[in-house]
Amino acid sequence: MGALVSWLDERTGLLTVWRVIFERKVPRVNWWYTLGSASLFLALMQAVTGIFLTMYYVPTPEEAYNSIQYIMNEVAFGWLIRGVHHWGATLMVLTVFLHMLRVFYYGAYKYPREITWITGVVLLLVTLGLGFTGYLLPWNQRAYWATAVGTSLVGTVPLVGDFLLRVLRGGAELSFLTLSRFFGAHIWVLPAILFSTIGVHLYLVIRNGISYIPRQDE
Amino acid sequence: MGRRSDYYIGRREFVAGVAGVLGALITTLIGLPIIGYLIAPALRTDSAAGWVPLVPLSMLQPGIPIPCSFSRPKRTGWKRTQLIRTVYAVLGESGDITVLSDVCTHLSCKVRWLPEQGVFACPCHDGVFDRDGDVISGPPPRPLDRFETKVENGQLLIYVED
Repeated sequence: MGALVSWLDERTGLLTVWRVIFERKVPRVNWWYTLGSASLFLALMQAVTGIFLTMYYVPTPEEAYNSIQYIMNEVAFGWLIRGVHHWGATLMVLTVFLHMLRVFYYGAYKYPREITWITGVVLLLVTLGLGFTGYLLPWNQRAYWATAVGTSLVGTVPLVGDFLLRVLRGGAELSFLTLSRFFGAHIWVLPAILFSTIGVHLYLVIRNGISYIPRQDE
Repeated sequence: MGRRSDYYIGRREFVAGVAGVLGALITTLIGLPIIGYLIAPALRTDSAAGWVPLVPLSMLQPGIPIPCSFSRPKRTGWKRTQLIRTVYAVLGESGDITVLSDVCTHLSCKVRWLPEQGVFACPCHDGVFDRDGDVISGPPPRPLDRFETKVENGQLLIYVED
């Protein structure tokens, strides 16, 4: 084992990477500081379960609902994979939001961590976008009307509202084009933005270190 | 370590151990079900074996394979569909009937009866079979599959296994 590690390290510098990531110095902190890791864990969990859901899910109005019924009732452990994805999504919005509150109330967004904060805002918005686009995919009554209402909100933007609404829906009404583009956004566009931004976010967390809990006189 | 016994576990080792065990547990709890999830459709066997009426005997011609199509209800995933299949019925000189599958025994392309040459030919890798389904040339390892047949009320029936 030790020989293998040193063989690998000599060729890849893996031990340095390990030390920089996992053996960096951190101040004495509390449990609120685990919310970022919890969000990362949930994001990875969503990616894994989501990838496997696409193996049975079919993003068309004719098949979407039936394919999910099939996943839930007939595929072995389909209920588990979808259940984890469903509840993981809700939980992820919660942990990401609480993570933001922690950073805000501890003033951890200040110099030199402004860019970490900005990428964090992007991550929060992308997480909400994933939740919004994923909500339509079951194509049941709740999904359909929630998206009808959600996209209508965009229509209230002055001047360009109607245009934005059409862009979002892929037409004037909710249709198979809406389902198709929400699916594309949900499994390709938003996850790509999410994970690349997580990369920058984590780099900055490691590069700048994490902030200590502010003292009373600060 | 000093005076501590050999069994002493430091806080770092303890936390690392707990993290490892939890990680392995979560990986197993998700990983094992995922294997079942992926192989689920492969384990599903809905056998619809049975006798299928194919063609009236009067339609058959001695020595000439007649293509006969029939459809079978098929359940794929959540969809019920009709699977349309074609077989070739051949009336022999002595009145015996052979029904041949049109699925090439090489890599399961569809063979076609070529009346001019009097052979079944597969378009994929040039497998050629004679009128009885025996291999003349090409890569097929065995003759075309045959169906069990019976005649009822002047109608030819075959036994379909799936």
